[in-house]
Amino acid sequence: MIDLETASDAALVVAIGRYQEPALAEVYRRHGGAVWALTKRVVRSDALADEITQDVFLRLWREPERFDASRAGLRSYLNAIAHNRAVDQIRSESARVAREERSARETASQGYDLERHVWDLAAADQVRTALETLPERERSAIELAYFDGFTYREIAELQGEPEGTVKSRIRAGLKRMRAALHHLQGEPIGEVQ
Amino acid sequence: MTHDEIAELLGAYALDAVDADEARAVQAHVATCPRCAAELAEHYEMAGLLSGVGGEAPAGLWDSIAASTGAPRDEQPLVGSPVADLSHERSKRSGRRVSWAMRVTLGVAAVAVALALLAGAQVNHLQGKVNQLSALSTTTGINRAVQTALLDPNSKRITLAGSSSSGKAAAVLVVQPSGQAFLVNDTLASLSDKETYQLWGVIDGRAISLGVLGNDPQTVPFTLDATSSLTSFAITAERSGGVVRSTHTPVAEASVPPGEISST
Repeated sequence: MIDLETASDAALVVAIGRYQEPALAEVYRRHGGAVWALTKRVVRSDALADEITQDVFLRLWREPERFDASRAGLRSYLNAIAHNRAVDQIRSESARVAREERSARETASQGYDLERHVWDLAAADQVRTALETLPERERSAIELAYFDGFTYREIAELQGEPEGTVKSRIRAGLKRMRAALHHLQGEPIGEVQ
Repeated sequence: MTHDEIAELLGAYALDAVDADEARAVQAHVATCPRCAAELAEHYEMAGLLSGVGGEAPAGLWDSIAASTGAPRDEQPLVGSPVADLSHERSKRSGRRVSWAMRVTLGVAAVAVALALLAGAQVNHLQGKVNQLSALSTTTGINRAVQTALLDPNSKRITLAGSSSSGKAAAVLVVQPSGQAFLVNDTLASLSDKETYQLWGVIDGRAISLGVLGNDPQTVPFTLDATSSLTSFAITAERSGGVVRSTHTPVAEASVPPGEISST
């Protein structure tokens, strides 16, 4: 019998595949907070965050075989599903208008401060430090994409920049962030657990 | 879209910031382009860091989730059985037929590949070169996990010898007492896109698929969740996607004493 508290995420997924609900409960205990916090950050609604988080874990329950090793660990997998769902949710037309208005206000009042958002989610010192190395436009493009759910085309429109420029900035920013984290840690980057 | 155009989209795609058509194009491309798949995995890793660690999971929400699982309450305890039987169990219990493609996928999920397989995370020529692992510059969690496994005095190391007359080591399995295991490819040559390596374990005289390894495996983590002792391992070359039962001669194999490899 596996010990749920010490079992690896992988072993828990195997147990979920056998319809072992306690294994799902343990996965929820480990990762539910992160999934909910990310979802809440994107949709800005407790009720919607609850709904999406519930869907994410039920999807793992019903389709554990979809756990994709190429997407790093289980938390990243769950977060990816949650983020995708959250973005879909806020991309309705009415939500889009509200989002653009909100973003405009934030731009006027305090600018796009990715550090602040990361601090809102977790005191991730090294991530915060790595973000400081990013040029402002790269940081803002990543923030608008990831935390506000804009496509790169929408970001280009918001920022008055060519689409290709925004696309490149997001890619370059993520690469630069990775390099900065590597440099900061001086050792391989592991997944945040 | 060209390779370069897709590559330029990878960062935005990892952040769900592309249109649906572009997303489909990226998905189709990375399925056949290891370089872009590797870069995408790195972007996902950064997205994971941006997500933060979160806080306590909302307690009340679990009740809603549990109420929706429909899980029977007389479940068997979490006793492991051969992981490749997972698809069969689910099929049997759900009363639905599970396709072979699904079974292969379930098999892979069952061996529970839990860590990122990032390109470049190569750990070649394992034996006697543990120290080299720490010098790897590639930044992946899997490297650290493999290092931990290698340095664990309780880990078992099994060399799968090639089936050629040379008997040269073709791959190495490192199995920790917890059941966490790694296959480290030493000399297996790349196969064509239409083929894949497949790892098998023999339990009670029955060969069970432990995972489909791809056509150019490097380091593959998996979990052995078995109360039955494995008596041997084998790797075969199969058609892409893997097979339920192999009729091919193993390209590499190893026997282990009964009881040597089993999880607790």
